[in-house]
Amino acid sequence: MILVFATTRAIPGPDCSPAMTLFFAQTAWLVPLYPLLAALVSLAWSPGFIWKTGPRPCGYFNLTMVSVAFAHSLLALLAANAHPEALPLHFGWTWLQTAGLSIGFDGSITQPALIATLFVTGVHVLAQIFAIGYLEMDWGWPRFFGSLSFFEAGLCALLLTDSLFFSYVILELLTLGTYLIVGTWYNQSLVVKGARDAFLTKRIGDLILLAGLVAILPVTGTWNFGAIASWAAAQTPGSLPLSQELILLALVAGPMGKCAQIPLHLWLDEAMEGPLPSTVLRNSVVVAGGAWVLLKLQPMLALSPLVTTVLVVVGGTTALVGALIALAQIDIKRALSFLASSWMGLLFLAVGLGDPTVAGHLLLVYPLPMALVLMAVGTVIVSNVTQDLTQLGGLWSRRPLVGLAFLTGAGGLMALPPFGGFAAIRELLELCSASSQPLLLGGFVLVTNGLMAAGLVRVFGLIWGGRPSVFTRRSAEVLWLMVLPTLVLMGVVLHLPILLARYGVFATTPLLGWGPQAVPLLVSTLLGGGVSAVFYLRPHPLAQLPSALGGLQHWLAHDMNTENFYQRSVVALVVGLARLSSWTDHQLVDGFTGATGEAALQSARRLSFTTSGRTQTYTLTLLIGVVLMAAWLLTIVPTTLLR
Amino acid sequence: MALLLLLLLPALGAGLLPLLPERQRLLRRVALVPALLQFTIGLSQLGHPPSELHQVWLPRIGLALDLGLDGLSAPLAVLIALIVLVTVLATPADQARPRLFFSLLLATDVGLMGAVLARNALLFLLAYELVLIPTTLLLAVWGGPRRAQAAIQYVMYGAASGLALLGGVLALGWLNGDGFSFAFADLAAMQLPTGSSHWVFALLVLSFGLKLPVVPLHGWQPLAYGQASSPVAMLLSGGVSILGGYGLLRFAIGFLPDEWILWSPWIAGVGALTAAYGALNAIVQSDIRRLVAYGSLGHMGLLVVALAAATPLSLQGVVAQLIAHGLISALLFHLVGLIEAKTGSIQIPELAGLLNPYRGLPFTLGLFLLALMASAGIPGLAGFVPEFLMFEASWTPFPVATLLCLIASGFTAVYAVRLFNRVGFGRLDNDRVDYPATVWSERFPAVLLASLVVVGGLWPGLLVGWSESATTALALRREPFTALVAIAPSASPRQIPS
Repeated sequence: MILVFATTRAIPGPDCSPAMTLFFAQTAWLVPLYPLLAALVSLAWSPGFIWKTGPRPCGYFNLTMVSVAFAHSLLALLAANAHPEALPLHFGWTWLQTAGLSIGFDGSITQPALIATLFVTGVHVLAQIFAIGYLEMDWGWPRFFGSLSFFEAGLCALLLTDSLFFSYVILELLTLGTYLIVGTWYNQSLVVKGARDAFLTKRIGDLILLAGLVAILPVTGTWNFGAIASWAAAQTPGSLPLSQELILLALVAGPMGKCAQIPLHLWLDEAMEGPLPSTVLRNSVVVAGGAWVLLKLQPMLALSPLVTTVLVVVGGTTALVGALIALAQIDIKRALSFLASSWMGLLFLAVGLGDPTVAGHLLLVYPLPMALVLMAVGTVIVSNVTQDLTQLGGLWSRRPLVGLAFLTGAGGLMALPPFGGFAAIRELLELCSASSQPLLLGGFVLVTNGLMAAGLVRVFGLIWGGRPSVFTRRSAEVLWLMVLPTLVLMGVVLHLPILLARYGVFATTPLLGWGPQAVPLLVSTLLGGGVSAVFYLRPHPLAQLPSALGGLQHWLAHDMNTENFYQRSVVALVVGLARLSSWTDHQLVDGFTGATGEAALQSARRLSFTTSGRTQTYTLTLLIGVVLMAAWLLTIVPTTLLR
Repeated sequence: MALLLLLLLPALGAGLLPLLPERQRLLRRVALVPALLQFTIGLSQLGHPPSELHQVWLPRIGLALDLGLDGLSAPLAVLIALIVLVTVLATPADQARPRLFFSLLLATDVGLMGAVLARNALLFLLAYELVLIPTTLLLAVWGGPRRAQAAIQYVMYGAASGLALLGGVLALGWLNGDGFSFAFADLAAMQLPTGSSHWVFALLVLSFGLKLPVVPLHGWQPLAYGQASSPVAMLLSGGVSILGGYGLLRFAIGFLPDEWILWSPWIAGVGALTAAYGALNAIVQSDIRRLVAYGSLGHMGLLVVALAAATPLSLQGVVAQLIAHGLISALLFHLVGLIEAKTGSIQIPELAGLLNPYRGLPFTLGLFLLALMASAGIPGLAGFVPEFLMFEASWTPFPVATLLCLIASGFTAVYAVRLFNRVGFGRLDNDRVDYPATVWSERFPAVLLASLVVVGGLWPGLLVGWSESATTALALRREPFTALVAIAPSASPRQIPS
């Protein structure tokens, strides 16, 4: 398997016996089972079962189990680093064996998988603590916390599995999980629509992935990533026939859907109708799950110039357009959701350019800052009862700590030293410079980075800058259950560059990740962020676009009318086909059946009037029938038989 | 002995019930006894080596009481017993004319069981026809306002199917070399003249195509499922629809393999069309029962594509699909019946917010979501396993048809989500609040079926673990992932070329 996060130094192990510590790594496959158990136990709080306790114990139980999963992940990673020679550890069991097809859940416990598991479980613990505060007055705790744990179980299993088949299975289950979790507040019409669109858009990606999965088996003879990589190594790049290139393209559709890449990006925006703690997880670790699968497929995808070109085009377009759309949003969560698409676009670009290490670094530095900015704005949404950016402002005097938390997260999501984002994006820029289109792709990255910086500073300016509005004048204090995880995460994000430098992910020369193209990249950040700061930190007349450009803003604010486009193309086609087949059924099939039924009834009625009661008539009728049947049989019976 | 018991127990029940007083609780308990015993006996036979029973009946016309249980019959017999059992359990406590109802239910059971156990084509024909009579009455006496029309259409199509089967079976027996025989063993070994085999094949495919059904022979199905009372719809979709798939497998593939290979591209095309047509029609339905009916039609289309592929894996998928579809559609129809009983409607525009935990039907809707997702082929539930096996096996011989089925699977998700969004999600109508809660006797059949749907998804051995030897023996092509080689029509049907 490819090493996603290239590290050069091992983390020192804890002071306990080696056998004991290795035990935690060997049993890391238990990590997904803790949250899964929590999700299953949550079912006991379904209506009609446990109701005397109220829903809160269910939430606490879920938090306990995800904390156990986090602790196990941490111990497993420490154990793995204390015994690097023992890795990778393999485990597996056969799920299905029939008619020559054997499907096993094969898993690999590797250092990158354990790091990713630690991130997922860690963010989940913080998000569930945050959720206890955020959903303080909500009655849907069991469903919500159960769904969160289900998500965690799925993600951890996705990180540990070495099978493309089970990766697909888990992505499908996450699609169902998204439907349930977005639909938490299901009596609101926008939520219902968001849940539906999230499910269907992701399912499109999943089904195309399924088609690729089905078609790839006769080609590679295996679904195991390791064996697929070996198969890919034996092929000559660029020598695959078109049919196989199309299969590889189909495999990309699953990650495209999960990472909300154009044209399958609609769901992430609509999924913002779900409660914010789920947004924290979705935008940080769930979208990263799709990217994880893409990285595992990378050795095979690199064989096809068609696929890598598509990855570059899709990734580059999503990165740039996502950042532009984010700038035009007035809903805080939507502004940040498009930035998630944009960042994943950069990752797709790196995979398209054939460098999984750069893509891995982009994946490594992304989830924690994204989770942090969402938690910070979550506290704002709760205390100010609105998530409309145009109704906020002036919160720096009232909520400076979460403002600092937001700035910390924002720093990690743009190319700003010393944060990890700078080092990762600079590596991508260097990769683009070495490609066949250095100016075009490099320009894309620089502009995207500038726009992302502008988008984040805009959100900060509109919330914490300017003067207080009606909504923010009496900004209520939020529960410590929300502030505490936010600040803890801020501490982690602040320490992330130190950890990255200490374990050799990025070189410190002299700043973390400094190197070629660092200056233009920094300039793009300062330019984008600076212009945005001028416009949005204080009310500025130019912050409102000139009326001539209002159409552009409107167009971007409505996600380039993507929903309308889908309504008029895919949805209209499906509805049209459905109506056509329904019409056919009514007019032709039902009509024919009804007519023959009616004719049979009428015939029976008329026949009833023709009965004379004479035996001769019945005998004649029978005789005619027998003769007709005999004649028919004689025509089909071979003459040899008759002789 | 087990073979005879499987057949005689429901027959005894059907004969005894009309003699009892018209008391619902007593009748239900009496009906439960043979159903439960039959289910237990069926379970005990799973995984056993094939067993057969030969008893001369009317040798002059070639009819014999030849019964057998093999890897194909045994799981289907268990499924039939289970569906009958659950149908008895799911029958409402206030069922009108319970004596006749339960008696007809067990009579249907006799026919279904006879069909899957028969090892003689005439016996199969008798059992096949026997099913038609009680099911027509079940449809005509209990059901919606248009039940009379539904029953007429059902019986017309059923009679056409029966006539075609009669023609096909008689021709099979009489054209079978010197003398005539209807024993399965003889039919499997025969070689029909090419001209005749076309006609016989067409009759058999027409007969089972009407029963499955496939487009455009499905005219009876939406109306019958839509008008039938819930227990009858459970029986029709979960039990009776087995006959079509089983018949194609046993008769068309088993006895006329050369014809099957020859026509399989067309059959796959019809299957793909049925899959897409059923799912598309389901999208625009406003009546939940009709929606489920069209969904069921779509699933049958997928099954036909897999039958056309006729590889060991695809046929395993077919058996798994028969079982999974039986469980899921029975669950769906039972839940639709509960929704109708509690809310008074199954019209989608009239329902909303039923997931509401205090005033809605959260338990029913929770299981309804599970059943819909199983039907949509979400992994972890029973519907996924057969779908995946069938996609994988059909891909290489029929990529376009399989792709169409995959798209149809996408449509399945559309109608499932559309339905649940409107019925489960949304705001509860204040004019229709405080529905009566479901009681445990109503929940139990749903819980039983839902548990099996989950177990089947997590442990696919439940669906495919019993039939491998039988389906491998019937297969006509090699697996796609081990270099598929189609058998030339002239080659021996039982040997897979290396």
